[in-house]
Amino acid sequence: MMDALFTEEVIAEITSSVWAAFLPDSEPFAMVEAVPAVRALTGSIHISGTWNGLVSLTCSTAAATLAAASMLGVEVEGVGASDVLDAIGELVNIVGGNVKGLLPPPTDLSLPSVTDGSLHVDTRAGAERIVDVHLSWMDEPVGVAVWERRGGEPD
Amino acid sequence: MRALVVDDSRTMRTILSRILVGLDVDVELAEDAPAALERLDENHVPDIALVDWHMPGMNGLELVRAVRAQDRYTSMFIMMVTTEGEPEQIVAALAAGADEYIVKPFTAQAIAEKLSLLDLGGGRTPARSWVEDPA
Repeated sequence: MMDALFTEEVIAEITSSVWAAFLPDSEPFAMVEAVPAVRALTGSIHISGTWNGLVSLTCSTAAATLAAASMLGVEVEGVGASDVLDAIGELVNIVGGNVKGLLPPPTDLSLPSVTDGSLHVDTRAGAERIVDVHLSWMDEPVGVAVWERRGGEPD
Repeated sequence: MRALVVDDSRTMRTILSRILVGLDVDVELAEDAPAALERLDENHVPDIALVDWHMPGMNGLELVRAVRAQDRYTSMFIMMVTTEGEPEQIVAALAAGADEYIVKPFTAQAIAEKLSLLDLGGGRTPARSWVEDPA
């Protein structure tokens, strides 16, 4: 139903605006066809209400560390594992909040969670990836996906 | 001028703190609502509190209500800093007693402009809350 709202261009624009606000000194995103398989972190946040699903942000470990360092205003060497998790959680929180803003009310936003690796969504329960945006930032892969749960409760 | 930043994300606390320090504001930090209430209880009431909405446990809206229920914090401005940008949420926050509202992502300039709209040096008067609480 909401597929028309959630286009690759819209999701990429939201993500770019978040990066531009909080990582202003870095280079802008480039959209790419596919991203290489690398060690990654994934932040995710659930939306429930008039639409049910989740938004995920997957960054290579290097991209996540660069983002955390920039947001915290420290050198990469000074970034700890908890800093990286917190930064990715906050980034997906803001991307997810702006995605939520596209939806008719009422909708609720969960707290973000961050996992090591790619996101596993149980598609057997009716979840379907409706947008999958591949980006390149600082020569590192960043992916943003929107998953819709067409039946039952969100994960 | 003093500000209390309440956000469960260390990253966001750091970003807001950096912006506020650049505006010559002294900053205190709290990682959640109970910690914010402790800071307020322990210290001189700041001129403004910048409050995130989504926090584990007591959320930002509940914190605003708790603060506004106490007369001793009447002079303190509250600005919500949140991803919740829908009109319903903004109205709810203002009705609860927030004075300003800014949606993430924001820029340093946007924070500065919001602060300039408030008479921080002059102190807040309760009448500034222009939305009647339906409850």
